[in-house]
Amino acid sequence: MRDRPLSHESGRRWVLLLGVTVIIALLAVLGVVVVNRFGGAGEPVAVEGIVGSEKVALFEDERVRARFAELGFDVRVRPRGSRLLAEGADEADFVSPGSASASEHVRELHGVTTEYQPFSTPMVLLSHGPVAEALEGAEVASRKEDGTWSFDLAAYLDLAGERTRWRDLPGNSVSSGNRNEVLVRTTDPRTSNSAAMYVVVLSYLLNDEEVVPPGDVDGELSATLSRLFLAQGQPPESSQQPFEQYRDLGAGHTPLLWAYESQYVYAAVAGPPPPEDAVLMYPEPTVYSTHTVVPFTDTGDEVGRLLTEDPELRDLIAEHGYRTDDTAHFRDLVDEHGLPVRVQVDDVVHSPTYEALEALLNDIEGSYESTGMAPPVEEDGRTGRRGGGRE
Amino acid sequence: MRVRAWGAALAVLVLASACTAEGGGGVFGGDRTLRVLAGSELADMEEVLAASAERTGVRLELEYTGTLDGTERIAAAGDAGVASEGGEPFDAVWFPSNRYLHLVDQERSLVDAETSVMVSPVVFGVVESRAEELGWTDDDLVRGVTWGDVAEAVSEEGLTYGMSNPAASNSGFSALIGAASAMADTGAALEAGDVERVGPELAEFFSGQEMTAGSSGWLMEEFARRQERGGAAVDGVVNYESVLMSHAASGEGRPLALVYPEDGVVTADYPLTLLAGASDEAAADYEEVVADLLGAEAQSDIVERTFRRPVSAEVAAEDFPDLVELPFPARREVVDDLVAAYFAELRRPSRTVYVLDVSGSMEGQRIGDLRTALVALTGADEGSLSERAQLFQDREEVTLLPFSTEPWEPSTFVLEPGSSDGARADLAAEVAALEAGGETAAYDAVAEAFSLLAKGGGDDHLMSVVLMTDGEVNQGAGLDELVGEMADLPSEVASVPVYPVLFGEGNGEEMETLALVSGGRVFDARQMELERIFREIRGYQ
Repeated sequence: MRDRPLSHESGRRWVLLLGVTVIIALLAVLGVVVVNRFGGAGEPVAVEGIVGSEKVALFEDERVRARFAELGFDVRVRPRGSRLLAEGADEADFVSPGSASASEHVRELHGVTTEYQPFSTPMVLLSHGPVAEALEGAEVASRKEDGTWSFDLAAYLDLAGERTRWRDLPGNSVSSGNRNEVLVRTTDPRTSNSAAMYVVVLSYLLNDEEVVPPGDVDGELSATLSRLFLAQGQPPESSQQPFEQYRDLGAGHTPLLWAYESQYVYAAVAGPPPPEDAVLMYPEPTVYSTHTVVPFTDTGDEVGRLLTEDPELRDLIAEHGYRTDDTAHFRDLVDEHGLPVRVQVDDVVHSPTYEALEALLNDIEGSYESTGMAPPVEEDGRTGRRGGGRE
Repeated sequence: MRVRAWGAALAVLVLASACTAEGGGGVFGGDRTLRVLAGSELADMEEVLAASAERTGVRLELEYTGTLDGTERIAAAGDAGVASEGGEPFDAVWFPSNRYLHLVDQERSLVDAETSVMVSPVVFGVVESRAEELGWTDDDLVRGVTWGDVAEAVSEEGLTYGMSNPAASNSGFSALIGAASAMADTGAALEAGDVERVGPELAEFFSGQEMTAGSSGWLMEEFARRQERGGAAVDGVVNYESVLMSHAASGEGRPLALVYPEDGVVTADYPLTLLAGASDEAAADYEEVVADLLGAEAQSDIVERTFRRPVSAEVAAEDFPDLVELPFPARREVVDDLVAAYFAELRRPSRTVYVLDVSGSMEGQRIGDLRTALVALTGADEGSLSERAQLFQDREEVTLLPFSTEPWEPSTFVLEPGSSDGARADLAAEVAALEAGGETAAYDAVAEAFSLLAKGGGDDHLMSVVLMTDGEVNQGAGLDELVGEMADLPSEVASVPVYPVLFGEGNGEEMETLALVSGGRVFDARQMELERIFREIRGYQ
């Protein structure tokens, strides 16, 4: 939010205005001198970045902007969907994808060898107390000794395969009226990095616990994935909207959300806080969303370096809920706020290559366009465009 | 370099000081304005927005439209943008929901940013005494009732309700999606094929729909007026929770029990949406307005004044029950087909008498406009979803009753499924043959329309009369005489609304009276194309 003039009183102050102007002009001269002394290099150098939308809040944080300004940079970012990030990205000074495979693609496309990995965050599931208990009863969720929760994704896939409804879960903790299927709410797999991370993890499980190799897409696997997206209905474009709905609209609206751990931590630390009955669960397995910086210019390179090395920026990054390679920092934050967060996340899978993941996402994208009645076979021989519909 | 930087810094600071000393929000003393194409539901936000503009200095200039219509205009214009009344393109849109926009614009090329500012689910309001009869009672809100239970109450207990037109208004659209999803009961988003499977149940549900309207605000007003008039009252209304709560707070009419379908609702989330073509200045203003509207002050204001739910954790939402949200279809065809099925198969068909002035004053351009407007409604099944829904639908009955010195012989067209194209062509030919001449006996013709409807009455059609006249009624019965006759109408036509169209030198006051007495609404075609008005009226038939 931009600063607003404070006074709302009415005018009639032209004489005063003149005086104020003179004073402020003098202050301005002094101010510019002071800023120049401090920064040492005149106006900050403008740097433009293209980033996944989940990082806009970090880059637009006034403290982050102020620190960059102190260091001589005016960093401006534009959000772009993760799958469109690479195209024409070199018009900017740097690009910041949210996964290692997307980063690899950007570098290959533009022939860049440098890559910074300033921070990352594991994917998690967010739920509500009564829902988590019902999932515990169904042996999908479980509480560990340290009080943190695990979510067994393979068991979830079984539940979803049986089209289990929320009201079918054991116990009385979930509204008996909720006839919706037990489905994880995700973002749009056609545009969003968060949903792509969901595909990474589920494709691993559906491929007999092997990372999906490049090459022809397994039609059955992609049909299963497509259904898990399409059955949710129209998806949110980016990760912020469903998080806000999860936060504000209760368990009936969003019982179970696929999210970045950083979203939860940032909300818990900086507010507005997660709902009182919030339960954070670690999917097993999960995947890390690795946020990288791929520079195209010297200033872009400098931004990547500063995000990785500058202690003040790293403090702010941690406050936004991200993990850096300084684990003590994250641990301190978790302890200080008493967060139900695992400092050590073990069960982590690797992403398929960019091509393999993109092929899966393309197949899923096609399923949104089909009618859901019959899967048309494309002329190039791909088995894509599976309908996510029921048999 | 340094000099330029100083100069710029000075300029900025001087301007900032000018603002401060002047007070108020303007830059250079002039208010900044964001031009917004908005759903007509947002009309109740004016005080909230005025207070917000005081704080931010950015005024939202809202131009109202139906959600689907507005959505389609934005989508059809694409990069070119849609011009506001002032000629400048809109910077933003603000509809109760962007769901259809996102189905139409899968590429997300039209939207730069969207932020949900408040929410309100679409639920039932049922007259308390009726709710008690149905056993739908609880302390202050009703739970445990499903969409299927409502359908059952319609068929077994004769429950009737009002619901806005799904192709014109978002509340009706949401209710249609909600009813179909809940009855399909797959637990997942609605798919092609589901609607056909649960068609009979849906038709049963919609057989209770006794009132329709092109806007949810007018629907609520007319629902309340019917309560007061007594005889033709309906038992309930489907509308936003916020509209129902506002109605309750106004203390008018009989108290309503809010029935929240247990199997889920479709919630409007009112995303304030910056269009892709907006300027950098508009984008900055947008950011500022959004930040203010999400702040505690505006959020409390929204809850207190409009009864919508807040989206800020700072403002308590304890008074609002937790609801299940039904998944919204992911595919456009599913939605388009459902809306088409609603009009052609599921809803009660309409029976309309068009009472058309063909007196001498209509000669020339006016009769030409009338022909064009009516023939447009007989068109082929093409165009946008809302345009298609405005066409005469299968199962409908359309009667043309031209009048001049006296009513002409009426001609009725029944659009039987399977042979309706022929009926549409006949109707168009009849319209094209209308010629002007003679005096204006409008009220005799309206009385005749009622007796025609009374003869065909007793079935499940939703009936209405459209009266189009361009001048003073100078022949036959006067308005008082007509109103007297209307008081003695047989019960099956007693609640038939008359929709007068103001045209040429038509008498506005008399038309208002006629609309009010019959439960209709006046449409003003003096400043607008007659075709647009005739299309708009279709939302009320």
